[in-house]
Amino acid sequence: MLLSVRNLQVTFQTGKEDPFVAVRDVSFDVPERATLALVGESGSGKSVTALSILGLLPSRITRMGGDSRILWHGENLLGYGEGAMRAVRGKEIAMIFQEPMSSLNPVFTVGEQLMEGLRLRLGMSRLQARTRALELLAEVGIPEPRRRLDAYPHQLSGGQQQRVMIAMAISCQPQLLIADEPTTALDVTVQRQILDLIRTLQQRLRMSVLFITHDLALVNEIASDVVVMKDGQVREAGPRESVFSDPKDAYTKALLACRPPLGERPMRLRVIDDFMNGRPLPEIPLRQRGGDPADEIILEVKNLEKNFPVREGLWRQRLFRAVRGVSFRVARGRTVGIVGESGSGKTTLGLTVAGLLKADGGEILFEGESLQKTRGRDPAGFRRRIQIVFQNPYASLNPRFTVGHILTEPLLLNGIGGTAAAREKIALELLARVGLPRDAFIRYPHEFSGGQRQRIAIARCLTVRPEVLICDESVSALDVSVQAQVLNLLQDLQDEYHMSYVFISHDLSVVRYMSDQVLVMHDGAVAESGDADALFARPRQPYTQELLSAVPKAWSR
Amino acid sequence: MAQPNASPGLWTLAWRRLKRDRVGMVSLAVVVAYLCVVFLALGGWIAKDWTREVGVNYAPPVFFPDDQDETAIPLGKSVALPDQVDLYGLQDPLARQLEAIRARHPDDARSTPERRQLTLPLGGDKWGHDVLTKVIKGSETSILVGLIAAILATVLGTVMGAVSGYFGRWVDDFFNWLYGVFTSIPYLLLIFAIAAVLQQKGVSTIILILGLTGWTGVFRLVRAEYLKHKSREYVLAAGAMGASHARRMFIHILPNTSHVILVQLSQNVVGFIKSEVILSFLGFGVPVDVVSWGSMLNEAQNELILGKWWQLAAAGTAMAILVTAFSLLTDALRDALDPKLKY
Amino acid sequence: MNLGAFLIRRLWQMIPTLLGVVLLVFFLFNWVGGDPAYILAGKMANPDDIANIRHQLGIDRPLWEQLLIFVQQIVTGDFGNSWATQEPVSAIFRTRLGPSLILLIPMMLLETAVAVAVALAVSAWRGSTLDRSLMAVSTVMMSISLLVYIIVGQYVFAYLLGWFPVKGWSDEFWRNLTTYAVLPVLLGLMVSIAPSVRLYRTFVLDEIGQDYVRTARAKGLSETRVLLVHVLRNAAIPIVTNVLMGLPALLTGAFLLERFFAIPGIGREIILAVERSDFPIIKAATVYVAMATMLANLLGDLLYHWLDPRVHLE
Repeated sequence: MLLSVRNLQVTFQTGKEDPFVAVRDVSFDVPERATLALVGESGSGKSVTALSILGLLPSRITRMGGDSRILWHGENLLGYGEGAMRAVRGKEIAMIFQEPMSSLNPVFTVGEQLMEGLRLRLGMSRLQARTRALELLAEVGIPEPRRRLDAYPHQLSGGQQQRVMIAMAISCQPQLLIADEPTTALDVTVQRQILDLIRTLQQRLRMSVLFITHDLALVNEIASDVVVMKDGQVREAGPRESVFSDPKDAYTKALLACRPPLGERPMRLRVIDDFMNGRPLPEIPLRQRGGDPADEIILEVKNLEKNFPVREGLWRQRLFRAVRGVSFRVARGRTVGIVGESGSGKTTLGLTVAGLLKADGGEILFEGESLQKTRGRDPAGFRRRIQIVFQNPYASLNPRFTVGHILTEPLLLNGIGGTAAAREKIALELLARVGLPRDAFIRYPHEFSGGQRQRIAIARCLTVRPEVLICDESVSALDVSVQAQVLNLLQDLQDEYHMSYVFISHDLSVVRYMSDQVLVMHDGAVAESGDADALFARPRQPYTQELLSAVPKAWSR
Repeated sequence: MAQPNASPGLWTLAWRRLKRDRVGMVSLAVVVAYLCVVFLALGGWIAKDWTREVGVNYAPPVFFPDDQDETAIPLGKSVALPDQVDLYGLQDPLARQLEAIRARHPDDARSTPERRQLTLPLGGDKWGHDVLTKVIKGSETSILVGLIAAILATVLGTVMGAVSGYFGRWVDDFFNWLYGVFTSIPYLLLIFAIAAVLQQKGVSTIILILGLTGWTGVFRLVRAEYLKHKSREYVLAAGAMGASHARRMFIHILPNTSHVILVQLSQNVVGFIKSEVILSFLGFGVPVDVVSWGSMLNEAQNELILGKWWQLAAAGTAMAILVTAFSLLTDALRDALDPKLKY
Repeated sequence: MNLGAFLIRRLWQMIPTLLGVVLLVFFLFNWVGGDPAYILAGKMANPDDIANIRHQLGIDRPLWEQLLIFVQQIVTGDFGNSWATQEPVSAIFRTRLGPSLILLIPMMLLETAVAVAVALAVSAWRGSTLDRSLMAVSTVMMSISLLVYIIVGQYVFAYLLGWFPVKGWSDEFWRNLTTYAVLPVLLGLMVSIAPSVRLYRTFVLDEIGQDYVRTARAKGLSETRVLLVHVLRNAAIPIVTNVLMGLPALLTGAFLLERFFAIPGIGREIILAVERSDFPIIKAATVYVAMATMLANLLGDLLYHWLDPRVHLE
């Protein structure tokens, strides 16, 4: 066995705070020339486990359990001194990380960083190292390696940066590559390429890979064995096929079930609680989505333009066209999904439609009336009737306000409710509606989890009874199990209040699940649009086709 | 989540964290003690009559009575000093002061000779003033100047920074220009220039000089905070709900920048106390009939050559203890208020 | 953008700031300050003397004309003569710059070298007893008034022990540097080292927390190499900028040292001028030091761009 982790226990102790056990009693094996996936949501201890293998946790605050063992070729790495450990790092076990941009030193060129390891660890001469660095860059598929060698990291795209990280990692031909969420920060098409690269290199270099991820769909593509972690403990471990086809643990089952399936659209997604209480699962009926020509159009966006000035040269300014000529219509009670990769302009579009950015061209019509013309006066309360739920649940609630204050303020500002007691009553009803306990009213946002905060943000929008709700990556920052709960809530609210949604996300399966109509955005413009099911089943534009083919194929279920 | 009590707000949490910080609490106690002394002196309950000559000239501190030597001038004799103190190439800075005090208190010095003590708790100065009383009075001046000027500068900097960061565009350009002008003249040079121009001296003049020139640091930080917060989602959401600009600026954003402002205020107090001491030392600060740590150090530099170290030690230590406590308190505040800890 | 265009742009942007400084100084001396003729003429002046002085100074003319004169003075560098000594202002600055620099440059170099070394050392052992006690010592050191350092230092090391001259200056460069400037430089170092160490420590710690440091460690590099190559090269960016932009402030910051040790530098000249209400010198000093600050900031910006490949000249 190449690597065996036995009874790993990691405790963090900072200052006088109570010790925090991040990993407890974790054991697993990485065989030679195999890929083991360590899967878990945030806080599951998967990254801590990975970092502890290389001894990269801050030693001052980290305590290892007494009978913890990390056996590398049968020798316990935890007993190694700093010098011996350094000999293992990079040379025998290498590692790549989630954020390639910040993981590369910004002030050294790609070549300098690649050659550093070759010269110091393998004792190559400058010339040898340079030649080898060029070979490595070519090996990880970087075009024009000669030019890239002298480039600084920020001059490369995210995907190329991660390729450089991989080149650095394999430069000393390690036996094990630890990849900690290597594709999470990347767009779906780039993710696909990096995944393919890791798989190819793993076979060609005959190394093992420890692949750490939160995304079960990726695991299905790359791993031979799977370890599922939750709250610092192993919940299930085994060969990929058996974990996916016949999960034993309730949490694993829930994780597999709570992602929106690509093929069909159930009324609601299964959540963890469905599995944890042990009762038999009821069948969930399917939901029909799509358009109806008789639908009332509530919001219409026509040829919308949004530019940002970029300074160029001595005095000149260039306009960066973030949104170019986007048009779409939202019917009452329906959802328009907007999907695109980073930089496609989808968030700018959402902010402009919500009235938080000023449009530079085109028109936004609400019930046929132009929103731009009513700016400032807003007699019909159009602005109130369009609300937005943001991506980051940690920044969208004022940390100095209680939840009660957050919910009653919009009521006060819009003259809803009349008395303070009436406003409080409305707020409490909404809290109950989004599934939060009554006493949340007197608490501050910092006491709530990400999913709970997103519920509060949704409740805040509901206070002013909007007719259009813009969801800007509203579930993207959440763990998949929480994502399912919030998506279910949004579905229920739409059914109940007959709201229209503009659902913006980079996540294709989520968008497909939520939407009647879909817009695919690319470089600020609409690449393709149409009925959600039809577009996903038969994409016509090459860009959409590429996007769809890059989505990791979910397990067949 | 079960108990129905209101949850602690961020201020309560910060206070709890501060209470656990032993160094922070000790510093807080020291600062509060100083403020009590200032308050008592301000009300006239203690150290009212620092101009009374209660001891012999250069009366040594009680715990070093041996230091009393022949340079102490015996009772009743002239209080004029030997002129050997021009070692630094300066005219005796005390001469003017002496005259002024004499003029103001004609009876004290001459006509009513009273029994003078041979030693004083912290020693006596050239005229036999009690150094302890002077230190208390000096603390009152220096701390009040530092505190009021810091509040003035912080309020100015906060309002300008908030407006500048929040509105951006030409408002921001204007305040940035002002900031550029004020920061391109080194701080001490600027207050020297103003001190040179304003011929009348006085405590309120120093407060104004320090307050009107010291806003730049607060401005820079508050502006940066407002730039950051105005595009945060919670502010955007408030805008979408119909909150006015003023409401977004002062009800939503201001409390979220309060940790920065508080730390800056605390840093400014320390900085301004130091500046006041330098100004008064050079004679550009408080007028001669007011005692501050700076004017005490000024007297003390000449006394040191005679081996009379106690006024220097008293003023220097009093200041060092307060400034140390204030700096440690600032660090503790910064840690306790750090919003990164609680998200 | 190329260097030339960047320079032109930045110099162009300086004009409004410089104009602001000129207006501020003018406003201060020609409006807030009241009539300097009374200061010049002394207490016993008769109205004729006053009128005469007013005419000589040009302050009987309209304000805009005075402003024009002031701008003219700045451009030509001719601020007339000192009111106190009748020495030309330009000559004063020319002759006082040398001694100031002999004091300041060694101080800056020593401070930077020592502060960076100490900051790196305490960062390497962050959280240890060494780190904590050094930080505590630096807090106390920063709290003692610089006046106390100078007074006690001069008394003990020069007056009592006689290791250094109590004060003075000569015409020889080397003698000044190795004899007269030594104690002032060391005392200046005592005052400025603690805040610098604390600041540079935060710069270094910021960098140590970055992801690329973890990458460097994962490559198996030694802790020394991680710190001295990867971290220091990044921390150098704010440090160098900080040192450079602090230069003009140092120029005036050393005024107390110059005064105590009777070093004929710019700082001492400024204090003397404030004491004597010698307005031409103060006006000239303020405007020229402001210009120097702006140029130092520009130089700092240039260096920043040169050190940090991420930032493009803009």
